[in-house]
Amino acid sequence: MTHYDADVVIIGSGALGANAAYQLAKAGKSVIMLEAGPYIPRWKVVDNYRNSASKRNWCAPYPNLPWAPNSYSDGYIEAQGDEDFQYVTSFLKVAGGSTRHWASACWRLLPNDFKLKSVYGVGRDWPIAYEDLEPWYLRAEREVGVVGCAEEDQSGQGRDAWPPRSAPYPLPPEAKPYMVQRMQAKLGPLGYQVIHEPHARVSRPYDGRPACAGNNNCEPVCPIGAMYSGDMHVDKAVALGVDLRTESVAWKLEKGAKNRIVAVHYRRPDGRDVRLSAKAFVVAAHGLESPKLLLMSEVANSSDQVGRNLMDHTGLSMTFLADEPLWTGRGSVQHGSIATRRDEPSRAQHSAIRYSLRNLVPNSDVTPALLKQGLAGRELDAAIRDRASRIMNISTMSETLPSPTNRVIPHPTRRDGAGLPTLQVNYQLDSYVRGMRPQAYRDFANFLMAFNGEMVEAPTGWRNQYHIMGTTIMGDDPRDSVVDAHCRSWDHANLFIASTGVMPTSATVNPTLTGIALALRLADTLIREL
Amino acid sequence: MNRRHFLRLMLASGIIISVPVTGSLATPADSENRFHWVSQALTGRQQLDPAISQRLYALLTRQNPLFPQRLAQLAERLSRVEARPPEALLAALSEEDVDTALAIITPWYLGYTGNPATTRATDDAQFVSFLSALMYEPTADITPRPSYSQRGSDYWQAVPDGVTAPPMPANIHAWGKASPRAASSVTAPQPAWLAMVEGRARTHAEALHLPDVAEATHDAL
Repeated sequence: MTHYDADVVIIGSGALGANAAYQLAKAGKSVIMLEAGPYIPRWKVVDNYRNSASKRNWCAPYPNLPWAPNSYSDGYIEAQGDEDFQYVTSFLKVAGGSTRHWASACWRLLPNDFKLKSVYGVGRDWPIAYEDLEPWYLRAEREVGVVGCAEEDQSGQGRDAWPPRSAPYPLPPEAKPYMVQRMQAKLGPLGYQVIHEPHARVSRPYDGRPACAGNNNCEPVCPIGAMYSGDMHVDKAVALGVDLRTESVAWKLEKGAKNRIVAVHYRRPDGRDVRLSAKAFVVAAHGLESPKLLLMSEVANSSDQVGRNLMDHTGLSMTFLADEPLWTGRGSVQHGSIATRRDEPSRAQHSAIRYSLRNLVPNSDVTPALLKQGLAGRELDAAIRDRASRIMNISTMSETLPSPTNRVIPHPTRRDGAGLPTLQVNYQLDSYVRGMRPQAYRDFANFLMAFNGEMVEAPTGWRNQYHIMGTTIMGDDPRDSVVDAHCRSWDHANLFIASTGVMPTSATVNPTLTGIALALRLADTLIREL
Repeated sequence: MNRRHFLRLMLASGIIISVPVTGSLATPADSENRFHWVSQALTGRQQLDPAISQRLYALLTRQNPLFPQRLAQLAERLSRVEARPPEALLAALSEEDVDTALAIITPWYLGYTGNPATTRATDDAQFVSFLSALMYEPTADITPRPSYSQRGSDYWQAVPDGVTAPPMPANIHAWGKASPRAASSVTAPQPAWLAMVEGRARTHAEALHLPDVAEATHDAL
């Protein structure tokens, strides 16, 4: 009988990998979970944050090591693309992954988001429908503790509750901040649907977590653990016996007979390499790093689609001063959303749009400019208070389409501290996403008018929202997709990918909940088969 | 930074003329105490933390070896405030003095020196203070210094202290079905607001003066 080091090796300990690990461990499977970065407790991240000069840098309080560099390491991501847009993304390499510094929006996709090609004639369809994933959406919501309002039309059309749900949200909505009340009071009459944004900052004590107290510090770290982050499932998985190996950088998947993956090789900080065998392997190493590992290993790529079809919610952002105090910063870093453009017929022509309402304590944004103006003393204090009370930021989550030329590859020449390739990204904005600009401008103009606004930063430049999709794309044809409907590699029956990279449509919502739902579904498949 | 502008603001805000200066105590001879004294004078605060003052002085001196000398010059000139009418101070402070003053005020407010990067791992920013960063003081009654709010859940629903909320539907607090319904169609935007969104004007008044906006607005009347 063949000896295996584990039933399953999971590469990556983020929210997706850790959720899969936890389910597998609960079902009695032996699991080894590899993590490139270290384990850092919450208190230490809070301490680092409070002692950091760069508080708007959401990677800064986390370890950034030569063998586990994060996205902000100088030169780690070499990006090429358009003249008017610099590709930037934000991810961590620590146990628990990048949800440790997210804001935890937990939207479900809409049924139409699964069939963009059939309904609107653009992009691709998923090989599964909304109904197929719904049970796992619910389980994902329960695992992470999602706060939501099931009564609303989340497609933004002001109709009945949508998408359909088999059970209510685990937690009721939090109180609506005064700022959001003002948005709704002013924008509703102009035709804009201001709705609740589902998220994982629990509104009541849940699963050992305290209720959100509005510390306004979701990014870069929730100081009290009210907001979900992947380390919570890392801890649960480890408690059930999952062997978490930190500072262990996977660099090669080894192919064996019958196209099965037989082992993964990982490297320790001292340069020592270790080989692990298993019955099955789950690559859950992040939307850019997972395809990098597959390409370095020359596996799973018979379609030539690994690393391609990179998508984000690249969009526009407007900052203005309202003519009345709104006082952003009371509560979490975001509440509510404007969903009107999320699923309109114009998706056949250009990107859908969802507007995100920023709710940061803005003192560190408004003060530098006032100091540069030479304000001092009571004048300065009064100006900080005035600006902080009136500043508002609204940005778009814009849908991008999968394009094979938007891709990530292992860098041909650059190496990180472990001697492994860094990342090279090519990312350009096509006419589909650029085509939403006139619509966004008309909406932004109305938002501005509603608050008799004074412009601080016009929404003229593009920016990413750091949501990575498409790079290990799912489909129903092995010739043009990397994984099948069960997140299984078309090429290797025992290789699975747990990543938002499998998503064939980006829609306009944060993809993590969908990723966790898919990871839970993938775990069920493995439990059945092993 | 315009020197006159800065000084006018300092005078207008009553800081400089309110500096409590008495005899030789006014300008301590040793640099660290001098820095603390000048910091309190320029920020209009009497309770700055001496430990942070010490750290910031060391930082500024490390970043600019000429800093102690410039500080001494600024302190000496500030110490003469009481002896002179404020207007005379306008003439006494040099451009360099103003720069020195701003170099001191800025980190006290922001809690750091330099320019923190938001999307790069390395920058020239240096930590000074978080809990004593003055920029959070003017809003402390309304918003938390991000990390611990000490206000409890759901405090954010109430109208912020000191704000008179415009009339709103009674059910505006509710999410979901009980919440006010939006209008069934979206309003067409006006050219002036659109021009601002396009980055062509900062204020509505400015936008109305753009030739194409003026024309479109006139046509609409």
